[in-house]
Amino acid sequence: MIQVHFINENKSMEAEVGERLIDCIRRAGLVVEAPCNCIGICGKCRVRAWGALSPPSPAEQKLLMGQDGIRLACLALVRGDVEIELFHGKNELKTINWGYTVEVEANNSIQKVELPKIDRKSPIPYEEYIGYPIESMHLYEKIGRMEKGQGERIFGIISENRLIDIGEDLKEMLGIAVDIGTTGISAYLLDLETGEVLNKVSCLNPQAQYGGDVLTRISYCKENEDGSRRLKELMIDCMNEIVMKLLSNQYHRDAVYQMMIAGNTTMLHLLVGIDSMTIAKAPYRPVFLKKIDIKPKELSIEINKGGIITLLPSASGYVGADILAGIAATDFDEKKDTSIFIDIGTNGEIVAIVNGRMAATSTAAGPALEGMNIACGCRAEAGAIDSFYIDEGYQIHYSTIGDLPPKGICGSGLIDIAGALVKKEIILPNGKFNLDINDRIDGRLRDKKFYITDTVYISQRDIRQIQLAKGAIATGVTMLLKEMGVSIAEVKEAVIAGAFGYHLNPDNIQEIGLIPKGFKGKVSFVGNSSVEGARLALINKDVLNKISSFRNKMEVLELSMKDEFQSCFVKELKF
Amino acid sequence: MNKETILKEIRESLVEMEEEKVVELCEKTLELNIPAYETITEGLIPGMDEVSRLYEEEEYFLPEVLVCSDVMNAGLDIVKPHLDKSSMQEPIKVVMGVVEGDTHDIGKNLVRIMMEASGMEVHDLGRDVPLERFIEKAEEVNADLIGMSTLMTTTMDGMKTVIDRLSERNIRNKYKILVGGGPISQNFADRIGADLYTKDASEAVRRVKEIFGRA
Repeated sequence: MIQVHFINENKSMEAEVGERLIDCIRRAGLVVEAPCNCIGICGKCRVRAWGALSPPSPAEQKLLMGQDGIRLACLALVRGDVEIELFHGKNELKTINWGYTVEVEANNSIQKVELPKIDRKSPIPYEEYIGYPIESMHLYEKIGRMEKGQGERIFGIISENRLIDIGEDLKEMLGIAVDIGTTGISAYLLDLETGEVLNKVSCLNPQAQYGGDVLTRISYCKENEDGSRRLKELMIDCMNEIVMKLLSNQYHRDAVYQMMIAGNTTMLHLLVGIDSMTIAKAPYRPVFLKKIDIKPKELSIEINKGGIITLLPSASGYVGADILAGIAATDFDEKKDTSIFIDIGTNGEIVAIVNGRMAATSTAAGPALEGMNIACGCRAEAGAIDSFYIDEGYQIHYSTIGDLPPKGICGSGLIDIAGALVKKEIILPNGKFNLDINDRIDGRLRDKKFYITDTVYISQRDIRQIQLAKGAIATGVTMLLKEMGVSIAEVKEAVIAGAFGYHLNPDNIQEIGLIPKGFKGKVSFVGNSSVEGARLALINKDVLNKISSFRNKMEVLELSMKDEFQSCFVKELKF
Repeated sequence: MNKETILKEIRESLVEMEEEKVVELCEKTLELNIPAYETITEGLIPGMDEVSRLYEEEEYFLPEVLVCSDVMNAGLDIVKPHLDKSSMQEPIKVVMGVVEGDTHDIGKNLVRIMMEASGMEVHDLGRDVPLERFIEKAEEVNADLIGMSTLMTTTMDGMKTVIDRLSERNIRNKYKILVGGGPISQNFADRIGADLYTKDASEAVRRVKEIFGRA
């Protein structure tokens, strides 16, 4: 046995010769993010390591670009005693925990009612005249406790004519709305009687360490016997933590009667630990799409025992509950004018509405627009360039998150940079750098890279990645509209959803052609409309029913199977 | 106009995506009795090789490559009927497709276009191809190379299955195996025992020619 020592954590463990560093790190209960699920292509699982290690392979050397002492945890193998230093970046995500929504009144299926008093002179059990069947042991326990007291008024919480809680001192009726995104999670605590938002929290999706996108995460489950279980546990722990944070010291978890959860189809499968392999292979079939109500105990989520955890319905394997919730939150289904709804992410989901008819699709945009797979790309974290423009005198201007020295470029910065370069013709419509203009920009174009600072740049390859990503989304829009018999010029509004989309500059989205050329309508940003949709579904049962009805009202198209996909995509690659 | 000048012009016009000019020049080669074989191997194919090089250097992108390949095909249409088949070298035979479970095929299409442009005989099985189909077709056409592609990490293992089945039937050595696609890496190719991995289409063509001694 050999020793692996973690310097910063002052933790040691035993390992076997030939084990990968990543496996040692995970076994020690420590975390290194591996967005590509350890297939050795993303180069993000960097650690500093000394000792008896396998020599770096050419592939690893290429990804490391000659940094001394740094190794990729998924490629380096231990050969003997090793010391490891993990880098702890601030694991915070700049996300928005907010979304635009329509107003709805509180009209939940969960209601508080006053129940008959206990007739303390009668030998007949209270349950026999309570008016509702008692369906769980914990309610008998509560009645037993009330029998000991002298209380007068008794209240019950009912949901669709089922008694789910009983007591003399039932104060608040709370609910929690959640959006489980592939990258981030947002949650609201609500008062179910008034619909008021009492608290909000957001955090990174803890499953992200096992893969940055849905496919790599599903691959992780496939390759590891207990993969699904492990990812479920991580998510359940996270949900319980969110519940605790939302309640803080002010409220009790027994006051939470419902949790309404939106998310993409895969995230909902992974939450409940269901093998979702079939979503990730043609014909992309999920195990479930319908709304599911689950008892908290079944998931070990700690809210009121009689409460309900509701997974919102999805429309297909790649048009999930997050999109349906977003449609409801923005009343998109009520739009009279031809409109499109775009959720920009690794998978770009698109919904179009024409004369009340809705159709949806999703496109494999890849993670480039979120700053991944980009030479100097990074998440929306401290030091990331998040906005950028070039003025009339060809001087560049940018801002960074937290006003820190620039360390990389996040998604919104990337789109700004691409937009500005296209506008100033530093990038030609075919995506190539225009060297003729180099004098005007102080020679920032060197070796097929545009330098923003001495170390932060955007390369020709990055531009190609952006073209592929925006081309995929634009193709989705174009083909969806064609299917519905309208052109982009007829579209009056583009609704951009997603926490990421909110930070984008509308001019640059159009400049780079993410919305296809010829669009003349308005662009509106609605933020995280998924969590907002979950909120509305939580406080108003009509909204919940409406979301359930979308699946039958919405045709879902699988674009990659259509013949004209390639020719359309090639056209949309242009700036 | 002499032969050298006209072939050079064909190469340059192809790279510049000038379809009409390439067609005109190809017609002229017939008038001048330049053998179709030479027009193809010293005009059109080297022109497309240059396009591949530009693609590899990120100067050209998908749209340019597709346009150039259309230009090349327009030229081929003119001269091919006049081709003396016996003068051509036996082409490298390729069976390729996107593995079962994946419907994303643009990358694979690009490889096919570039392989065809360099004179290989490509049997394209399309997308979401049942794994057994790769083997059947390779046996049927007596292929030299099996090419498999995928964009999705979840379907990568299909490539290994194909290689394993070839080994089980003792026919692994009849074929070279090329793998590629977004999540594929040299590391993965080594692990599953593929002969060749390349990061893009043009490198694929170059390396395939190398391993068959046609460089």
